[in-house]
Amino acid sequence: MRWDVLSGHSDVFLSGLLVTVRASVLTLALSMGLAIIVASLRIGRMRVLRGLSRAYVEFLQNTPHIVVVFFAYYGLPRMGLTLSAFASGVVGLSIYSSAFMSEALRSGVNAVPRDNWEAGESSGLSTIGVFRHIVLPQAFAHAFPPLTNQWVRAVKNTSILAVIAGGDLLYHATRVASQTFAVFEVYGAIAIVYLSLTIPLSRLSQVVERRVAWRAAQLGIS
Amino acid sequence: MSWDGWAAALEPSSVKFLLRGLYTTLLLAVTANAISLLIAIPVGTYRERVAGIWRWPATLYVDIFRNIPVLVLLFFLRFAAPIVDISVSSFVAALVGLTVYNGAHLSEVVRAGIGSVPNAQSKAAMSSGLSRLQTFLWIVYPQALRNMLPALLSQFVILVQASSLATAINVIELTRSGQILFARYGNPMEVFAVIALMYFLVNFSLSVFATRLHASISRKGANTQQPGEAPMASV
Repeated sequence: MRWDVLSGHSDVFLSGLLVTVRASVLTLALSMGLAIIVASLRIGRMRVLRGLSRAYVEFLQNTPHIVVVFFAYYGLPRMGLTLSAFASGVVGLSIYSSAFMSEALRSGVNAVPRDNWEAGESSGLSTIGVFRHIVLPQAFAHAFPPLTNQWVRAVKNTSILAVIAGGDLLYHATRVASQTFAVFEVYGAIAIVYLSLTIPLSRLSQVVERRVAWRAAQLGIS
Repeated sequence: MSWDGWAAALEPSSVKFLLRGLYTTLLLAVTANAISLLIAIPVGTYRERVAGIWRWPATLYVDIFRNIPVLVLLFFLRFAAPIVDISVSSFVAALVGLTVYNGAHLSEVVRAGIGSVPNAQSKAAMSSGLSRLQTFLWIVYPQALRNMLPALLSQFVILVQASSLATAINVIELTRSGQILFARYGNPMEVFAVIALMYFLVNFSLSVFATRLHASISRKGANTQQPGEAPMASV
């Protein structure tokens, strides 16, 4: 076992890890923002917007994420917008993930029983008030499990940066592995790194899920 | 986007080239799915029903390969094979990687499918004299299969999308064919539009089929484990 390869190239691995973490955080933030917008359009009043957002979601859910990222990386420069590999990867991934996250949000809102809406409106709250105080907390409780699933997927998908030379952890690992031939050591190490990123995230979300469900049961909402 | 770009992307030789890539994609996905199902059935069964020493390797397998990116697995297989003096084609490396990855996900699907069969059935079967194996083969698995068909299809759709990652290790599937094509003609947007359309048609029709299947199974009354019924710690 050539552990010296890992320690010798530790600076490269560290910079790769930082890029991966940055990409993950940016992707999660951007895609959640987009998802909220798209989900609002999906359940909104205007039929045209509902149809357009549905087309957006259906198209992106049925296309591989590598195609979306390639589209951003190779295609955007043709349209005049030249981004770095990192930026085009993050943009492509955010758009891809936002489709899945918006569906999670939408199913969360739909899971709130109609009675609760009407009870809120009959208590004198405006539509926005009903949404804010009554529907949204319950919707969040329902949407949380599939949402966190998508968050973990988004973190895993940042590895796509390796294919477009985005300087992430997998990219640097592949370069080191092909130079030094210490394949098992390098890939074993980064597998452990990825696991230490994703497993805590899913454990944390399991804990929050249980908390949210417990709180919902306490308040007597389904 | 330009007319020349579209013309180059849509001429017969290009489309034929892309269709061959699609064939490779589907071949990869179907083969990986078949083999991973063979892995997933024992692993899923062990995790759900059988207590004992084989549980923790199964859990380890599933937890690891569900939580690492597929690309890591693919790159590792591609580079590790020559090191241990095995020379495999990229296709086989991609196949192994996708099988291992899909096996982990399918194990969870199988696990849920087995869990959805009411425990009363297994108890009734065994009290009627059937052995554990017979109970599984003739009572549990057929019903579990019916219940998990929609989830199996959804996972297959995910597998088709994951197969596009084989591009990175030079398998000439659909996405790679597209890259080769636009490198030649210089029309990335048009080619990717065609590719996205192909993926969309395949995946969307599978999803619609899965939804219809789910609806018809629910209508015919899936006999599933109810929350109140007594659970079975182990068979």
